[in-house]
Amino acid sequence: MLEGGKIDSKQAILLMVAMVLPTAFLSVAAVTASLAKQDGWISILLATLGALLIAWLAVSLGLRFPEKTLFQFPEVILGKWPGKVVAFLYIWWYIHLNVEVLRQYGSFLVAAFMPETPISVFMLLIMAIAAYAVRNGLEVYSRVNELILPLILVSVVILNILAAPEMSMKRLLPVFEHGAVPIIKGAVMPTAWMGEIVTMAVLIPYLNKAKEAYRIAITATLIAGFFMLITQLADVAIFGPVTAAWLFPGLDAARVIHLANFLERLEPVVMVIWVAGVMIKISVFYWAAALGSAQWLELKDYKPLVLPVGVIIYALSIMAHDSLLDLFAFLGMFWGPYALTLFIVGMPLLLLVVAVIRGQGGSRH
Amino acid sequence: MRKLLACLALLIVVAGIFSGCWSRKEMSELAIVLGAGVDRTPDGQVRLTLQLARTGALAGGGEGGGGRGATTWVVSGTGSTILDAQRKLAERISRHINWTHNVVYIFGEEAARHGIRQYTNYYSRSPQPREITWVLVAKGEAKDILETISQLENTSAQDIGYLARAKTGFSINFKDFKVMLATKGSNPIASRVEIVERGVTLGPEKEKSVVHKGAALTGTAVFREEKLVGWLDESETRGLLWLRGEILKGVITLSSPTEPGKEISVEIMRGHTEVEPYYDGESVWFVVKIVVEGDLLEQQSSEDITERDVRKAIEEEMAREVEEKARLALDKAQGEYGVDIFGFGMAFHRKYPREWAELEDRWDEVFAGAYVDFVLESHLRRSGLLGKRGSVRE
Amino acid sequence: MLIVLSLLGFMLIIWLEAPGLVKKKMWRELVAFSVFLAIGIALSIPQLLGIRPFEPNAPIEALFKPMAEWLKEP
Repeated sequence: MLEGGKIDSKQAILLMVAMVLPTAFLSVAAVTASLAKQDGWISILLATLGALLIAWLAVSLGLRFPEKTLFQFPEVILGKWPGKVVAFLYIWWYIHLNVEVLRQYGSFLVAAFMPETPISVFMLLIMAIAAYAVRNGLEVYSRVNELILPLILVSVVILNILAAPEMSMKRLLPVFEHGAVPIIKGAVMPTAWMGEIVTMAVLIPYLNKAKEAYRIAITATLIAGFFMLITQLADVAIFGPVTAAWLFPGLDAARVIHLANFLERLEPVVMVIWVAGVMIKISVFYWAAALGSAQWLELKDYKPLVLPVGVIIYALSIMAHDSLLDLFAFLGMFWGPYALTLFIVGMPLLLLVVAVIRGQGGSRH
Repeated sequence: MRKLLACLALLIVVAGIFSGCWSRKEMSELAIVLGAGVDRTPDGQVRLTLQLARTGALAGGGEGGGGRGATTWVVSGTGSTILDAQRKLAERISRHINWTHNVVYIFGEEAARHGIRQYTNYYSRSPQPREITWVLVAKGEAKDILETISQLENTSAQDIGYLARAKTGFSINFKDFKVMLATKGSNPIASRVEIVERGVTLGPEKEKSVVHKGAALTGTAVFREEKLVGWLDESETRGLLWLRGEILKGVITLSSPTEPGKEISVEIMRGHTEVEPYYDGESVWFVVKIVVEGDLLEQQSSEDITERDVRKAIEEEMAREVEEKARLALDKAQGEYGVDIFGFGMAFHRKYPREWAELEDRWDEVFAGAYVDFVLESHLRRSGLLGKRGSVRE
Repeated sequence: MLIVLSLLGFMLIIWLEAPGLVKKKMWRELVAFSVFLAIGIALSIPQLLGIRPFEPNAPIEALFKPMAEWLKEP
């Protein structure tokens, strides 16, 4: 096996949460509020429901081949070459995910904190750290995440509590004003976010107790959904119709905090959440891309590929967008349909259906 | 060995690209903005006035020989946008203009009358200014307000900020102001700031005393959509606060129920307001329920407030007084300005989301014609340390 | 300057990985490593020269335009 590490169920849950939340926390409210207005929280509920189905799909698929990852079992299911194509597309997707996340990471720091620093500096540094984490293997960055994620979650809760005096729940009313369609549209992007839980199909071979995979995926999705929900509710309760205009409503929610004239300007907390959280997020996808490439080429080790894959991600990330506005236009409008139809729902569903029809893989049920 | 060298190489690279942080700025290189004023010049330009902290003078305690006036430096520049004006100012300011500690945005009357939305964008787009900065509209020019000095505080911008924070009148921060601008069915309002006589600074001899003029909050600026249409004075602003159900502080003064010409003052402790809209397909009306609780703290008259009947009479008088103030503000908004500044439209929107779609575009018209019924509930909870008056002969 | 730094970076990567692979006679891995790195370098060099060789998202945007427009319309 290429990756020797094994992680336990708790680590896996935390990893799957850290893979979804950090970027979502910052801008999910703007994306949903621009489409679903004050009903964005219903979109999040809907998206959580969708993500639970996706989690079930990914785990069902993965558990049929508990020794193989998403990059290996398509060959078994579809035959050698079609399987290779599917696996290749997934490698591309993980690289592409990281390209966008990396760009978002740098864009945020430049836009909100250090406008004069070139974006490439932030991107290069985080890639170097992530490369180091990935080379050390799944077990190592999972353990780092065990330290980081609880701090992030606690900070998010504390920030929202501190911002409570600025909230007015009336801004969430009236419910269901514009009907169901905007709510469904608003759910697309959060579903794509939480749908990254398909990564479970990569992770299953490296779990201590593979049979807990369902529990892991569902718990992780519920935690991620819950935190997205409170973020959404808080941001809309603070900003009402202005929410959709912000690029990073999570940041602005922290900026309005002012208690007793001394507890103010808590944006650095957001920056810490962002840097630490995105580091884990990038590591997970980076690891999946490197591991997938090695498995696709049937190598003995994925570590030699870590740095070259990093160079590719970095180069593409610089190339992908010429401005922050382009990045947000792409993520807000194209990413959801693209990720959902192909990688999160489409291909897993295809694989599962074919596997069931052909009766492949050991089903445990 | 290889690892060591790799670390070394990484260190060199990091040190190379981080030859000092890019965006690092020392305190002594900053011109810290405490107050910003926007005026519209007759030819339609933006005149930006900045009140800058003279950090040296502030750190020195401000007492000393130089006097307190030297804690700030006020500069103005004209440009076609705020950023343009700021760029021109930068040519005259030796330091980087830093907005992170700004306390107040003051908009001149002319700027507000021409539409305030064109002047607010920079403040939320730029990451430096805070969303919790107070928004005020100057009666006259914003520049004049920022050029005043404060006797109690280090700078007049901070003085105005503390006045706004005290919430004795209506005050609003930038975030909530923007939400008002963005919400259909509510018109923005902001505090009015103007220069008034604010007491006397005493010299060693009586003749040398100086009557001090300073900025104070004297009511509310009323907008239609984004344009200033008029003002509410202080007592109308009290009514505005009752109708909006904002955090209420202050005093209700009412005439004694038994002794004409004598007054009673009640300090407001708690209060809340519920607005219930009704719509029958034709006309819109509102029932406004106001609950007020207070402590009687001053009594010129000498009736025995421990008696139930007297207390009841005082409570009724409190209710009448509150309703009168609320009516004052309501009449002005409905009659003179024809704008909904109380968020009645939002209440209607929440209760009748479907019907709202038909009315939202002519809401102010609907509001101006709406009948408003008041239901008041008042309680006299305590009476300070006295029961009945102590100095009255039995 | 940036090009020199980047070339140094690429050399560092080669120097970190390649000798170990040669020593362990992992030829297949070495080839994969070289190919991936070559792709990475090929993507980087034009940008270092100030050229944006292609827009990676353009085909995706073209493909998903109808769905994106459905999302956007009010």
